[in-house]
Amino acid sequence: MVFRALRDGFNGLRGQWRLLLVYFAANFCFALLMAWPMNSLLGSFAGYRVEGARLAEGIDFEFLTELMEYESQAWTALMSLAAPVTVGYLLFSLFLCGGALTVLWEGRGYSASLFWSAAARHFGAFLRLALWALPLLAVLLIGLALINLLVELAAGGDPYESTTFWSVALQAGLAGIALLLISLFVDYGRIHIVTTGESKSIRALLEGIRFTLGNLSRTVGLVILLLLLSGLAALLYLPISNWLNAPHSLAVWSLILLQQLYVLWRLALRLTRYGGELSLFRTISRQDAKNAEKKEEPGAVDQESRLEADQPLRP
Amino acid sequence: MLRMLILGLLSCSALALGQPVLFEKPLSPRIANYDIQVSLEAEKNLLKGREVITWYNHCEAPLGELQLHLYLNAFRNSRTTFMQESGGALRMMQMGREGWGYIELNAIRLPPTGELDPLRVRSYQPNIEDWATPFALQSARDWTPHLEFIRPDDANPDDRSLARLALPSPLAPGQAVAFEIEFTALLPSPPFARTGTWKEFFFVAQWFPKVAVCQDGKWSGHQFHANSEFFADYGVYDVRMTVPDDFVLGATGIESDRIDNGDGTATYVYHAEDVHDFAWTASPAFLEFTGQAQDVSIRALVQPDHAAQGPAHVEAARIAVEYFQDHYGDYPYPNLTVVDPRRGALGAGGMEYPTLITAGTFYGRPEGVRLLETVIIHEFGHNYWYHLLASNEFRESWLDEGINSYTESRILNHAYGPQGDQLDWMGLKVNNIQMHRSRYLSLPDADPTVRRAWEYYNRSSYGINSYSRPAVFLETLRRHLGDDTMQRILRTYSERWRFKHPTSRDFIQVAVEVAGPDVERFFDQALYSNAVLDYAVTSITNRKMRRKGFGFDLQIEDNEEANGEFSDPDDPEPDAEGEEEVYESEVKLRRLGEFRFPVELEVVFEDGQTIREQWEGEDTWASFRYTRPWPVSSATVDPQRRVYLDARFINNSLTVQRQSLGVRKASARWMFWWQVFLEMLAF
Repeated sequence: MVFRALRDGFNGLRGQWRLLLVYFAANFCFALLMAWPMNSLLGSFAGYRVEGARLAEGIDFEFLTELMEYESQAWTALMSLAAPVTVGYLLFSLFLCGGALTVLWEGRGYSASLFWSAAARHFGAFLRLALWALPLLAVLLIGLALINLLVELAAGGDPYESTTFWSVALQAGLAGIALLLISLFVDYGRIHIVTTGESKSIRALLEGIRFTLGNLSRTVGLVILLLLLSGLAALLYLPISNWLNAPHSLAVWSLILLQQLYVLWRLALRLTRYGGELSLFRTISRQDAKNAEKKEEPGAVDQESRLEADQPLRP
Repeated sequence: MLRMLILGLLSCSALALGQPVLFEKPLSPRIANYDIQVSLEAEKNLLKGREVITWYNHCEAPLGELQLHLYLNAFRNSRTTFMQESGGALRMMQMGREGWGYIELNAIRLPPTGELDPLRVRSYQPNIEDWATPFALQSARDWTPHLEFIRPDDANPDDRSLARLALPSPLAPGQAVAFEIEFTALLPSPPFARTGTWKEFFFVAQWFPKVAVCQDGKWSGHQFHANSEFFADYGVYDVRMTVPDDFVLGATGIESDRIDNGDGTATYVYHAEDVHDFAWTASPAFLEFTGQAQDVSIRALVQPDHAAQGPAHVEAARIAVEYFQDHYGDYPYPNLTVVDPRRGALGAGGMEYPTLITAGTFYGRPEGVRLLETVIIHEFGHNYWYHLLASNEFRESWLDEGINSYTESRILNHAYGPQGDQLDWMGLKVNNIQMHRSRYLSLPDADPTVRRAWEYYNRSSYGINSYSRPAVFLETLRRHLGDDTMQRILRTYSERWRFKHPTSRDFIQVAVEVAGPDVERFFDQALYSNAVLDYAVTSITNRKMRRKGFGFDLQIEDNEEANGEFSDPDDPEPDAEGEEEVYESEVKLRRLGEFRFPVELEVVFEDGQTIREQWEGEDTWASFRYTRPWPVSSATVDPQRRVYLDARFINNSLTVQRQSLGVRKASARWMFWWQVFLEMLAF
């Protein structure tokens, strides 16, 4: 079922290039808010210097030192943009998510009116859902603190560095798993909102939790498959980008193109995740419904309906 | 003659006492000699000790007093000079709230006679074997009331880190005095400013009453300052340390005996010759790793936390010892001990004592993060630039820290270079000397390099002028003079001035002798001024001209002055009437800092031809003119980056064309990172 969901996710993305374009444009524009000032800063600092030409070979430590030291005000101003850009992008991607889930759920192809109206319609609920997830993060932090406490109880107030190191590694690993689960809770909560029109965000979050934990191997399995694909892309990207590190025009433009293709791939995987999760949700929900019917009418499930349950459903 | 006799007696005395003799012929003047017995009360962090100091007046003037460093008193309370200067924080460590330290002198005794005959003085030298019977000379005079705390540096009445002891009668040059001190010392906890204890780990430094240095008829004693390290005279140390019998102990010098006292304690007997300080460490948790570097045996006392890095401790020490012996002269001592401080005790880390250094690492350290190697190489370097030379770190800290930072960068580059000798991790490659330059640039002109350690603008300026700036200007000199000459300077300095308290002037004299008189001016600027070195290419001008026939009447056709901007040149081929287009180009350089140093200029023309010029760099600016068929496309001062002291490499060059490709690539990379970062955060 997980592989089928993944396949459905990719299939669902087919023909949705405009959806991908919207996501890419949003990512590009927000990153550009950070890159444009940097381009100006580098241009004024090294535009007419031999060091400017050497930037095509890579950034050396001495250049970086002088940039930070002698352009500290510009650097500070640039970094002061980082927080608003990040928060802005998070909110905007939350906004886009409503449109993307709706378009993928409807399965009728991208339509601007459908996408933007759905994005606007669900934004409030999605934002509330995200805020409801904050207590889960608080629980996570408390859990991590409890691990510290356990380590202190087990190893005393003066644990060996190895104990501290591995407990931190354990905490990082558990935090990663917890964040993954929270993101799944939120994802399936959003799917619940989109597919049922649920207006209560807390209820949607609870549904998301119920669904994720009730189908843990499938929901987590899908995300792990996508993470593997993402890692694979990174493994491909790194050697090629190193190979394209030559300081001439063709290599530089090829590298820039490769970078954007890599970003595009990551965004495609994000949309694939949405599509795959929708498929999983749909299939499992339908199975649940059938099972419920079966309980009401014992022996009533025929071969046809079993086959139907295996097929992704359209609304 | 008298001195020779005394030295001979000292050697005989060591033999008579059953101590090993390391050097048949003393290497140093052996001015301050210590016989110490100390017991550690581990539960209380307390030391109870008794020492006999035999001190020779080498000072060329009769002396009515001795000065004693009592440096543990720097941690006595929050009002001491050290605590006021440091604010209770040093080397990223905070003074423990309950962890104060101190040293109390319980009794000072002088010999029964006022006659200070050096030959008779030796007879008061205690027999180390007789420590069981108190050394207290039966008829010795109690001289404790004659101790007085002094504060020559800042008149702080709350500071007790320096004291004077009036002598009953002036001590003539060449004469000696022996006296006994009983003391109690409490160690700071956790270790702070190099010394102290944490749990079962003890690092015991600056722990005994120690005579200051007298030079040119004057005492050069200083209080313990936050910014400074030390200054002391050489001598022979015989030290007995009694500790719990399950403790592993390491100390300056060599272990000559270990006596199991049968009461749960053991006494370690150490002997050191021609050293100017003595430190020791003890812990039951130490794991011992050993190795050999040429004729030097290496012992690393490593915490169980870092057992996997034990061999790395030995290997780094081996690299350091062998490089130094190969390049800067013989390390005369037979051994080196490397101490790994306990977790929570990093205040004792990264410090040097004769034949004993402390390092510092952490569990899970990636191999390319060469913190451990850097610290060990650096601290061992002090065994040359401080312990074999003993310059005055209160007044000229660069002679130790600065030269040592330079040699540290050379060794790291030799062992792990050429790129990423300090950090080579996850694609980041940074060299040690780059780190020093980066630090130097953060405050390049607050102070001259040489000044009293506690009088710098701030602690950062002390650090920069003691470590980083000297490392960078010595690197500049190396690139200017060449490896061999630079090495000869350092080797000659190291060998000639051993055990003699050299000054900056002595170093300069050696440099002049080896490399020629020009370097004197370099050092005058680098050491005694805060001058910044900054040469820049400030303009490139290309003027298109038309040259007729074979004459040289130049007609200016196009007078476009460029300051980085330039229009594309026309075809410079001669036209049909025998005229040819040429360019009169001018490159202007400026000296933007006060520091003067000869620099090279590289001028590149559009056809790829390159011209190299030399500029002495004396005037505030210089101009170079060319008449060529092609215009100048770029000019670079110091294209090889030999003048590493230059504070701005970025203005060393100017190009006529905008360098869009590099800027675009760097900006695109920055943008790519942001794209990936934002995408990863989004949910």
